[in-house]
Amino acid sequence: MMLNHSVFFVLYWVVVSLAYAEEQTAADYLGKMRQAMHTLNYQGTVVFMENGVLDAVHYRHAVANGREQEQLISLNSPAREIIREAGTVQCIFKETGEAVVDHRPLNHSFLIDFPQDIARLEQFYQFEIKGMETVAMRRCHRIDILPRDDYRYAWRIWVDKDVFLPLKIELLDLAGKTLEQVVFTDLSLPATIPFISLNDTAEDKVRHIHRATNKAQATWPFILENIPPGFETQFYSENPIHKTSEYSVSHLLLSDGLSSVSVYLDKADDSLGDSQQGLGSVNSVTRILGDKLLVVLGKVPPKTVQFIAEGVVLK
Amino acid sequence: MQEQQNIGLKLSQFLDDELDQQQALSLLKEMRHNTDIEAKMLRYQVIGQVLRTEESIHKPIYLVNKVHDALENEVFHFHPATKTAHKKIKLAAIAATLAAVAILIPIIQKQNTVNQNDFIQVAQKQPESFRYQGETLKVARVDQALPVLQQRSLARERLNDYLYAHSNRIFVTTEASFSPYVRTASLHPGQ
Repeated sequence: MMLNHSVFFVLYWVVVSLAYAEEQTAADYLGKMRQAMHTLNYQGTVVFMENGVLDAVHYRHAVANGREQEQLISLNSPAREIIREAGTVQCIFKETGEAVVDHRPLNHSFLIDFPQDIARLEQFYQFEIKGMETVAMRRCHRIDILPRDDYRYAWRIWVDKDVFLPLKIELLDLAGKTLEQVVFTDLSLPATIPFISLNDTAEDKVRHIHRATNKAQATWPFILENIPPGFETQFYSENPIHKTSEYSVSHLLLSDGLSSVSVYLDKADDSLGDSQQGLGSVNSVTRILGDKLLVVLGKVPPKTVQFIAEGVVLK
Repeated sequence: MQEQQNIGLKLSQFLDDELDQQQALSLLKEMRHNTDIEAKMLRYQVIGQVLRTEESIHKPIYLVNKVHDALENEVFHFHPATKTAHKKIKLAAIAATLAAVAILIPIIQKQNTVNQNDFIQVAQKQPESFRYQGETLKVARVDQALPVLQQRSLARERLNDYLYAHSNRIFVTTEASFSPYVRTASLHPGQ
């Protein structure tokens, strides 16, 4: 009798486990994807397609002892390497020995910035598993991330079935037209990937771009009256952003976790007036507010930047 | 008057095929240079045909062909050309070609200059629109285009700065549009 109970319990556990395995949600896959992106060593050829421009790079992600480094190595001349590590993006030009180091307050991935709080993201996007497809000779779950309103674009991600890495990423407009693509054409997962040393470039050949830390909302020179649902302040800074001048420009970054919008308050000049522009997947609105120029831009629909721009009031 | 009567007689004989080859050839040569004789012969031909039959339309054509055939069959054409003659012809052809080129080139150049001037003049007078960096610019005159282009360039440069600061992607202005991060990195950092 006791034996029968044990067998029943084991069988019950197996059935429950199988059922649970069957019920992996899109959110589960996306969570695993985010974790895999930060914890695995992987490399491959990645093709970036945007605005009708195609570029192929060798992509490497190295991780060891909590240190993480993302490397993009050009396949086409001129030779250059782009390295992201600990909030710093560096571009090294092999032929001239020069480098640009961009110190940034936020960590990003060159592939996709996916937030940790997926549950929050699900309030503004609907996740759907669209079956299995093959990318770079590997089986992937295709997951559609569809906006619940028209303030943001849709995404489509192919997540590797075994290692959960994103092998293909598409950004789609509201009509379903592809705006951007990032695709692995091959992928390998070596045990270790060497880190690129950042000390080889002579200091006099390095150009540093610094970003100040976040500033409190009370210091902002404007008020935002229109913020689309789900968008939150990521940081606000005042820094020189133009290469030709040193004055500071107010910069506020909003994000819903997946889509981001920047709001700038700059000096007005003759080059930009009231306008609305589409730059591939990026939409922007510029407005003259007194002697200031307001610029709102991001990879969001035109409606979103227009809505935000209309709600900016100078203090 | 006598001469005209002789020509008339000869034409009549020619039409009746009563002239020998030498005389016929002489008449045809004369006819080649004198349209009056040719016209007269055609009239004789038509009159003769009308008198003989009702069909008068195709005969003159036949006659013209006959004249042409006769000219083609002139004895002169059958003389074998010597090498010297070939050489002379070649030299003459080359000389003629060079002369023609020498005359035509200045004319063509002048024509092109005129066309360009015309274009500029027209463009300066008329409203002009053209594509620049994927946009249609409308300017009243061509000389107004430069400041517009410079302004557009400054605008794009500023937008590029905003895009750069916006995300971890750097954008640059290209002919077509803004290029994403990876392509930007192919530029010299000083640019």
